[in-house]
Amino acid sequence: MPSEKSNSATPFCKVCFKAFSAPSWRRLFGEEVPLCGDCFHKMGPKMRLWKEDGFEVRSLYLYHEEIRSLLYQFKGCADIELAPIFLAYQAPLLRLIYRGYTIVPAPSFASKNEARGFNHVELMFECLHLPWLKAIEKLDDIKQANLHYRDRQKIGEHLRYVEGVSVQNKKILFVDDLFTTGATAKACCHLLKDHGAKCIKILVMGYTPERQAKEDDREKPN
Amino acid sequence: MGLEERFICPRCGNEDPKYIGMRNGRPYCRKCISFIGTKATRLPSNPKTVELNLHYSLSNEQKELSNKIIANYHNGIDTLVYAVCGAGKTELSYGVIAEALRLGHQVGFALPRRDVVVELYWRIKEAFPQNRVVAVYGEHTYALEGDIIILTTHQLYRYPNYFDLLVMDEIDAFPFKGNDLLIAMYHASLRGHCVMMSATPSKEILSEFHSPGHDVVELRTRFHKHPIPVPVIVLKAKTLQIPFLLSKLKRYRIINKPCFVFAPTIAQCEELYSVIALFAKGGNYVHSQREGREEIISDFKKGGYRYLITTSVLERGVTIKDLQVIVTSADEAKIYSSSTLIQIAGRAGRKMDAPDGEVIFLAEKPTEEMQNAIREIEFCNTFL
Repeated sequence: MPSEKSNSATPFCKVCFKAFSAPSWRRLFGEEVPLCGDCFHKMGPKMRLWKEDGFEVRSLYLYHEEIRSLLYQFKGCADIELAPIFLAYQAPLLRLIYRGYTIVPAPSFASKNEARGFNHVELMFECLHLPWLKAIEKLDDIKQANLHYRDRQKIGEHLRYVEGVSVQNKKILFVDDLFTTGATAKACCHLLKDHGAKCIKILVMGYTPERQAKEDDREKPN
Repeated sequence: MGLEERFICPRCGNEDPKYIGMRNGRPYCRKCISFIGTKATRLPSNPKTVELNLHYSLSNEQKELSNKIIANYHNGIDTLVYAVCGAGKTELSYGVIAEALRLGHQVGFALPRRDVVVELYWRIKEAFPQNRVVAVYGEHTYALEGDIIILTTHQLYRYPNYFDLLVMDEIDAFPFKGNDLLIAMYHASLRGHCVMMSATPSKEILSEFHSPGHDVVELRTRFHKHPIPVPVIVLKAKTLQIPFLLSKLKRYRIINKPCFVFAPTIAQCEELYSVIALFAKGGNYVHSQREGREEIISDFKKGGYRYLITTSVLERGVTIKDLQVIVTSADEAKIYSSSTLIQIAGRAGRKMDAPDGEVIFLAEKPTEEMQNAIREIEFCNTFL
């Protein structure tokens, strides 16, 4: 019977599938929370704020096993339903912090998105309800996970500013899923700065200290 | 939305709307989504030459049962091998594996746990020197095809409608037990017939195999014809359990025998080790989250440690000569069900030249589960 969707009555967690109810203040604003508190704490939320090349960077989680497997399920297995979980609890705060900003997503190679069926960065940060500007594109499909620190810093050669898009005097929020050495983020921010952006901040979901990243990468199935 | 509700996953049979997501307007199953990866290709089915290389000969009883399993396989009957711990279940299956290989059939051997897969891989490889044996488990999926494929039950999804003969051991073990997803994938991978093996099958499995088209073969005695060590219940107050444990460990140290100490949870395992290690040197602890677990276990087998504190991760599939077993907090009935206790007790006395061992259930009060386990073991011993 397609008339009524039964599961909308009892909300359940998208990760552990257990029934739970969202915090009452969130329900007051009519928001659906797709993640239960237990799973959220398992993901290890830890907000960090630091400066990188003069740009302010904010990360929401330390990248470890739990986040790694969830991100793999989301990106690698194309489990699109997981998109809203990553920012589920931080979104209200982030909306306040980044009011008036325009999001520039980290560039990803077009054919990769086609194969997956969606752009993971866009979906992840959709819940911030900010305007989008795809100001930067990636020219080649290079996989940074297997590169060394020095090679990663050359990422700038593979990035290009999209002509015809204006970031002049705009407050820009650059978003990406992971921050490892920061090579991509820094290269992109410098590009944006050169094209006249007024204020640039970086927001990433997970922060990987370089050494930890190497260990994790070795375990990746592909 | 109508589409979403009518969607049934072709792989795992899931139709619960909770587990169904929408991707670009098309439904997909979220229950089995992590089972993504390369599927195995089918090899041409040529009859193979098989040379069975065993260092020992089967007992008459084992031979008889092995022939019965082979006959069942020929007649298209699924077999459940219900045999006590240490009866030599794995060896019982060699006959039917060899037979299936001679017929050019595809053979798989599935187990729930990866540690056991690795161990079994070396045993089977030694027993079938002329055939290509591959092990497939998490992070070890480079070769998927072979004459005999030894795999974890989690990898069964790579082999839809693939196996003519599928041998499954320890079907009552976590995580296969009661996992609908894995059971559905097992059914999907089976093309021919299966041989299930267990020391402690559940009632559901027993009733399934007592129906037509199925057969149960039973083996109540160990291959060395010595009785299974009967566990002893030792009742002690919580505070007196550790001194008792220490005195036992000291005793085993004098007579130079290795010992497993089982703890119910990971936290209790670590806690117990932190206390015990102060008084008894030369031990270690393992649990499912412990890094380098394989090395510790192989060191223990070589005699590198005197005792090992463990969770139920080592409750089955390990054979160590002259092992003594102590189960602490054995009255935690949720963790130590009678089948778990039977498996744990079955670790002792598994070798021909060391058929005896001590099994102690250390608890504050006796439980039904402990008594059932002892009754079951005593019952099996009456068949000698």
